[in-house]
Amino acid sequence: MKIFYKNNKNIDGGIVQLIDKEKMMDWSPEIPIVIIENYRKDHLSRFTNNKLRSEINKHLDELIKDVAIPLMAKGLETENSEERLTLLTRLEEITRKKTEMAKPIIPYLEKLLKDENEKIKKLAQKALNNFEKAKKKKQLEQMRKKMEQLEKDWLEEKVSNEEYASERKKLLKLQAEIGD
Amino acid sequence: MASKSKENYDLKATKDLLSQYLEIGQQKKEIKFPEDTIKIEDLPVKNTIIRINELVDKLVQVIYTTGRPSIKLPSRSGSNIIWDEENDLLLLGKQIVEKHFHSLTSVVDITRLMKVLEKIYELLKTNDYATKREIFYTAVKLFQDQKNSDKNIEDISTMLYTIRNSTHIIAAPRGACVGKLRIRDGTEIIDLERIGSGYWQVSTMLDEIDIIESDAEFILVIEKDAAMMRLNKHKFWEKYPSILITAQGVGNVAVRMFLKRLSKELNLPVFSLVDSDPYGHYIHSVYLRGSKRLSYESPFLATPNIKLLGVLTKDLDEYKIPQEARIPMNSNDIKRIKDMLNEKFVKKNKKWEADLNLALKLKIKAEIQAFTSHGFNFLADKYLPTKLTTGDWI
Repeated sequence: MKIFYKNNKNIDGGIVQLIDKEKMMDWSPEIPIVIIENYRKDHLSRFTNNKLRSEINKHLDELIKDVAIPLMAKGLETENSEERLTLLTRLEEITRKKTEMAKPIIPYLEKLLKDENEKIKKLAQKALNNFEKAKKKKQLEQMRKKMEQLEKDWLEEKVSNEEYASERKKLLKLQAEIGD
Repeated sequence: MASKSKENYDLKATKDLLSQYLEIGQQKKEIKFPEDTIKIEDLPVKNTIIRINELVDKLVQVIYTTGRPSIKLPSRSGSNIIWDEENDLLLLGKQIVEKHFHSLTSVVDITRLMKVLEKIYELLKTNDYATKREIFYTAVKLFQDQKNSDKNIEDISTMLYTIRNSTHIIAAPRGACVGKLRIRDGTEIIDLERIGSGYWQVSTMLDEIDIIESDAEFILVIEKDAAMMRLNKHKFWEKYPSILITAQGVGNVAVRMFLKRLSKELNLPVFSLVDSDPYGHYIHSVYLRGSKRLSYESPFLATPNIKLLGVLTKDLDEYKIPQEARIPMNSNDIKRIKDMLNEKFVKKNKKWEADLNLALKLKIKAEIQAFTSHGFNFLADKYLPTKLTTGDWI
């Protein structure tokens, strides 16, 4: 475990122990990325000390760079196509369920679009589509909020029929694209 | 002696111990076991399967050549259990017993053994797990009593020179944990500070669990669920950064293994809080150096640096436990204390020996809950912080 001191390298201020590179090396290749990003997003904010947060963030970056990415890349580059397919299937599931946390793997998936194995190509594309879909869902959410206000303004005749219709059309188009 | 919740304790003695442990932890000393003990390994699935295959291949070969196969395994009898003074562990010696397939007396035992081996192989191949009870129910007529299948499960672990967890036969979940700890289970992070009023049930599938982060400064192992509930309700672990764990009595394999991992990976001081009676002392001893029955697994289950924080016999007077909260010992209690006083590891620890002798002299015992006579929060506000600050432990 890597030790961080909450206050001036002294245990009186408290300590934080975080998983180190060595331990993470034993994990399945698809797991480190999700766990690191999950920790960064949902757990790091508990610490109010900026310096401590920045030190931990730096360690998390190192974990991504030195463990998570190499582990996954190694798994995806193996010659055993069965193993690659299993890993990619898990990665596809992660991109669907934890899209935000899986972002660092995008470049590796893009590389696989040129793979000779059709199944791998297809799965990589499916995983990339999940990111695109998540991005559009986010857009849709923002657009819906915007439309709520626009509808009020339109009813109060603060907005023209053309402007309202144009925005409404954009919303319907986006909804259709992601099958919402 | 009323509880004063405003009092502040700096837990100095505990922090000094933590400093020391963190320093030692950085040096990562490798443990060397005595030469007259066998080496047991925690194996990944693949390697356990390889060991089973090798064992069966050898058996088949002997059947073809001599027609008189047998199985050799380390003896688990009392005479083969060795106390390793240096590492403070109970370990299994090198005595071997042989079970013959062709003997009338051992044919039933061997058949049961092979049945359990078959089930273990099935579990490993499908990456599944089963409890000891489930194994018994796979062939009730053959095993007749769960004691028999349990014994075979332990025989197979020693036969394969591995721990029971590596055979994917697990204990029924019993332990609970709460406090300043975040763990990984699959692709999820479980935050043991954010589980409402309950606890995280210690998983029996520990190979799927990893410690992610902790800002605890010590670990407290509690014998009683009621005391754990009281401390959790009081958010003791928040005020005094810690991890609380209970197994509701003697720690089962999963709890002891989890505690061992917490202690090994986090290098935190570990304390036990048990009833002031011989059974409480026994529970502490099992966490400390393992049980005799599972001595072959001790290096994976024991936490040799665990300290007995309380409740010590001397505490009953020091913390003015009223007479009506003290219970007279019965003959079994006295016998147990005498047995413990005969153990080498107790004789070596003078403070422990003195407290047991005092218990034997006074012939009284008390439960952790006896502190309630000073108020519901006395345990959390006064007793524990005082002991953790002054270093009054064994």
